[in-house]
Amino acid sequence: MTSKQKYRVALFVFTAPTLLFFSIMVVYPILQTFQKSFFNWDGLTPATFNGLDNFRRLFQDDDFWVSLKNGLIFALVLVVYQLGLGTVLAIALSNKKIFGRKFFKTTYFIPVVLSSVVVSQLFIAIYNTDGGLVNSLFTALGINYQQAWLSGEHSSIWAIAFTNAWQNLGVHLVLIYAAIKSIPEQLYEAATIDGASFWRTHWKITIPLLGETYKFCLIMAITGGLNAFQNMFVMTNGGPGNISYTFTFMMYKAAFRSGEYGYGSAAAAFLVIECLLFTILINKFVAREKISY
Amino acid sequence: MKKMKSHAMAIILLSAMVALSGCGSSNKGADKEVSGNKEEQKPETVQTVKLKFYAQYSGQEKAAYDAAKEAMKKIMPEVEVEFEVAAQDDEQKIKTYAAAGTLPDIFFASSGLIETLKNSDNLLILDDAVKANDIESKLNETSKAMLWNKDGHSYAVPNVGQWASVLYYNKEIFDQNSIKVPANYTELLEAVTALKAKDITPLALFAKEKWTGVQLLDMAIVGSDPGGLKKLDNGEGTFADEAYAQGAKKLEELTKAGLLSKNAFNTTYDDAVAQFTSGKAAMLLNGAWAMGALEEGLGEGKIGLLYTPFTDADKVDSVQWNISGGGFNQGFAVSKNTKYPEVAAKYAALISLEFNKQRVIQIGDPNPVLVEDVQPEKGFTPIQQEYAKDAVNFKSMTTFAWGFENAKFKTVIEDNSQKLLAGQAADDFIKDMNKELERVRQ
Repeated sequence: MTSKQKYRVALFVFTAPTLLFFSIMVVYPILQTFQKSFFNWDGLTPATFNGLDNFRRLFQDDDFWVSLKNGLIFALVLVVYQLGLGTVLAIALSNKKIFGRKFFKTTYFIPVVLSSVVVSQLFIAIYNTDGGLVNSLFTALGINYQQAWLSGEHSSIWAIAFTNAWQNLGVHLVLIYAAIKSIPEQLYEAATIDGASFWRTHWKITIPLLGETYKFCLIMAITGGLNAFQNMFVMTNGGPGNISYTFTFMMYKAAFRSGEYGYGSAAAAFLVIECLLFTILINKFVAREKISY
Repeated sequence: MKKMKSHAMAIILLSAMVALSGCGSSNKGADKEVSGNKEEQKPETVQTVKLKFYAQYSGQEKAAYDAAKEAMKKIMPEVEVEFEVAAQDDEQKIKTYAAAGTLPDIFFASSGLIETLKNSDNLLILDDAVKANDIESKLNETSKAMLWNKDGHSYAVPNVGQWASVLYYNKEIFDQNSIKVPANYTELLEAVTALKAKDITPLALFAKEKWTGVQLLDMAIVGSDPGGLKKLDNGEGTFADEAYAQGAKKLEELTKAGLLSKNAFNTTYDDAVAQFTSGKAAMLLNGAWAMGALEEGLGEGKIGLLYTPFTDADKVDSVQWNISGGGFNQGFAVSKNTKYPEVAAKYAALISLEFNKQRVIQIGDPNPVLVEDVQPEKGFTPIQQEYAKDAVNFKSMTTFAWGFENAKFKTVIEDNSQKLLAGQAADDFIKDMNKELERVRQ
């Protein structure tokens, strides 16, 4: 056996268990979901093939369009808040002149380790119409803007998305911070010698060199937004009506509440396709060339 | 040196093995001795049958289950029951058990679940057990209907009575603010407006649980059509019918007048009860089962019951006992795959009755299913006495949302009634519902 063949055998031996596990736990259920999406099935009785009926119904369902819109809004809030604010905070925390950097780094990460249920309950109180923090703040500022944040047709999904964005900011902050710390110091020294300002330095050096990190963060934030579930389950139970539905919630309703597993699988299949599409687009257009220092 | 080390290791391992096996054998000996003694003491008995029982074995009902289990030991001593606490999960766990073919021997099933499990051939027909144990003759008249499914078979023996859905009201709030307790829809609307003006939430609705909105709508309909939403679930009528359209319009009007708090859709049961018992809300919707706990929270004599406050003034006399709530053919059911079908069926049938009896004795349930006159240990509270007196007059009942047989209809009406209560126009609600009714009936 040549060394190349030995290398291949070793590669197979070490990766096979993981691949097998991944195939059973991830790939097989996804394929099964796609298969079931072509059936009329209540989860208990034998399924009957109904072709593309579930997908046709999907596009005519009011829940579908609400879920699509909400998923995109959720993703947008996560991207803007977690990547935008995450970048600003990471740049600030990477500056050695900032006092109490370690304290702030820890503080921003604390919500990540909290349970989603706890955070959701906390924000239910914050968004409470009567005496909640947000409405009280408006009152204190003399602004007459009292809202039913979690029940309003236009405010509900934004309020829930913000809860999730707030909780998981720390993950993106740590990723971006770590990426900034790995940028060689001499690049900044060269910029300083050339007389570049603080903002220009970061705009021309830091941001472009974070391309690879942003790619990963974008995929995490967008797919996380599209398949959001926990927060709305705890905070609004998808309601009132369907105003805070996402595809995962729609899938939950169809499969577990209506007993329409085939239709629920179609919603899940669409979600998988949507997430894949965004992942492909991000991979195609963001940080296409590998950065090396 | 290496050799010495390995010898030493071998000796240590060997000694450890001997010591452990010694311990093991002495334990075994002890076990044998104990079991031997047991065998000597145990009289010749029939073989024990172990049954798994999936039920709401928690909260105040736990005492009733325990007492029922004890009572059953005298009737069927050969049966040993192990309870599994049922999950509050839209019946997902029990359906998963069914899909995996591992249903517990006995479990609580509502009409909707019975329909699903019946279609997938997972339910044991209890007709023989019902007849052999003369169950029907032990049930009072209103409960007999709950024993039989629409297909003529029995799939579950009722373990609780048909509770009414009611609006509880805080008598003190109405008295102190000189607001008339509503006896019809016009008065209800006036009361809501007056309460809102005084900054009191008219109705505490725990609408995070979607069934509460459905029940409110059902209550608004039964005043005109005793069939309520149950009739739509059965495939009859639409929201174009006068009674249904009127019901939706009444809720629209009440919502505009400020019936609910804007937080209602994030409000849990505990929050709603806290609002009601603390005097921040004047009324609370729930099933009659909650009356004991609510009276305890608010204080004896301070709580009142409203059955049909949505009825038009000119119809009150004729429809005042058309009640929202109830439920049909629900109770303890048996898996078709149980190893002991006959024993499990008999046990389920008999413990259903025993459980109901214990509900009366242990927790003062004033809504029994039995002919036998059972009295609670602590006696009935004033409101329980009032309810027991009223219940005799009930002419018709509908169901609670979990009693709907068509799961698709259940989810559609749950979501849409929430939208209506959140401020959707009644006309849009009616249009949406009629469109959905066409789909769910296909």
